[in-house]
Amino acid sequence: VLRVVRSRETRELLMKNLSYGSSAMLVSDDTAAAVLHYTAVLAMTRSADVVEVPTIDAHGAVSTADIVLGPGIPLIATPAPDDVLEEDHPVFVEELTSRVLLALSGGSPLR
Amino acid sequence: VSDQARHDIRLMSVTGRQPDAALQVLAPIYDGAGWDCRPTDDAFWFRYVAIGDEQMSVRRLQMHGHLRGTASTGSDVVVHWLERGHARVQTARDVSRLQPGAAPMMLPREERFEFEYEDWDQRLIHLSKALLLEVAEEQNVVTTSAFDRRATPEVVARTQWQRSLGLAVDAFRVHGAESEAWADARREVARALLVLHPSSGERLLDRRSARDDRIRAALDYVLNHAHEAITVDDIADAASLSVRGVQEAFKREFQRSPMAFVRETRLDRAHAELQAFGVERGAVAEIARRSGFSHMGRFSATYHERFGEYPRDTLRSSAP
Repeated sequence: VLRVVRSRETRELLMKNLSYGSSAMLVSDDTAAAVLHYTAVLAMTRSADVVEVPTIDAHGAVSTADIVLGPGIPLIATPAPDDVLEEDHPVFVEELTSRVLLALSGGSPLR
Repeated sequence: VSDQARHDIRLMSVTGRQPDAALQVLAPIYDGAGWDCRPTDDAFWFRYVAIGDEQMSVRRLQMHGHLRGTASTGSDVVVHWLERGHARVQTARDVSRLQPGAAPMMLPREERFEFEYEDWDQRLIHLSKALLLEVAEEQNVVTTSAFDRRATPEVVARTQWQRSLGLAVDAFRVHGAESEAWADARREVARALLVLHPSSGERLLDRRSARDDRIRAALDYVLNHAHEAITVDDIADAASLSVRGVQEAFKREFQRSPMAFVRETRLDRAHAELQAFGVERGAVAEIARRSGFSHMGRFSATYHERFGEYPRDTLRSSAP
């Protein structure tokens, strides 16, 4: 079973560059983990979904990116330097966790 | 003391070497109460110069000493800034600290405020509510279309403000208080103030169109929520406009996209906070977060792009 939420203690103090197609998004560590795990579950269940990912824009403000996740869509997370203002996104992680559970129980993530 | 003392000036110049004399001259002009004036060393002096009329006056107050108390500006709108020294102005709601080089600020209107000044050189511009109202009514909403895209709004607005004041003083000296030149110059200063402090006109104006109302609502929303993770959709909702409507309105009124406007608002706030007198070292992260940023590295880079220095440099240069 995939664990989407990693405990705070084991969490590395890093942000992640999430590469999607030709663009890279700067996201918090927990966001990257949730997106990767959900993508893996979608691959297993052969389905796709659109998620609104909290990112940091080029000027350092919170922004969101709507991305399609599913089999055959490459997604790579690479380490990015830690930042003093980095914040977790528990609401987003919780949302993806519930979608993971839905996907694993055979429901369709796409409403 | 009456409005007469406050308004009926053409040219006034007072100097003195006694704290009592300063109280006698200044307290009536600013409706002072509970004033305490004392020397900071054995060389106390003060100087108060004012030119202008009941519509507008340009004043300078210098003191080698310490002054505190409460005051009010009556119905006048008073803009002030420091060339030298330190000042604190405080109302029930907020505290402003002034320091040389910071943007001109408005003294609290229609409410008493507490102040404390020390060894300072201060400029005060008094404008009557009537003059501001008259000019604000001619203007189309917020007058930021005068902004140059390349410069920060503050810099352009401050340059225009300083320039209009210089011209007004010249007009008064050369042509006199009854002249057309002075009347025109006064209006230019009022216009410049409406650019510098758009809210100074907004609060006075009641008459506006539905379109203006929506732009104001959008602007209000941005100014009140810039520190949050707001989107164009949020601004559109707040203003009862479509997303496209908001984008067009911001392009038309401010020559920039809504999100660029939000970003500049955040940066300007961070800049102002970092410049404020007495900010503690190490406060950059907290100020960045409070201003709506979530990434220090990128915030610093954007800040540098706009102000030509890094946040820590601003903080260092304003440290006491």
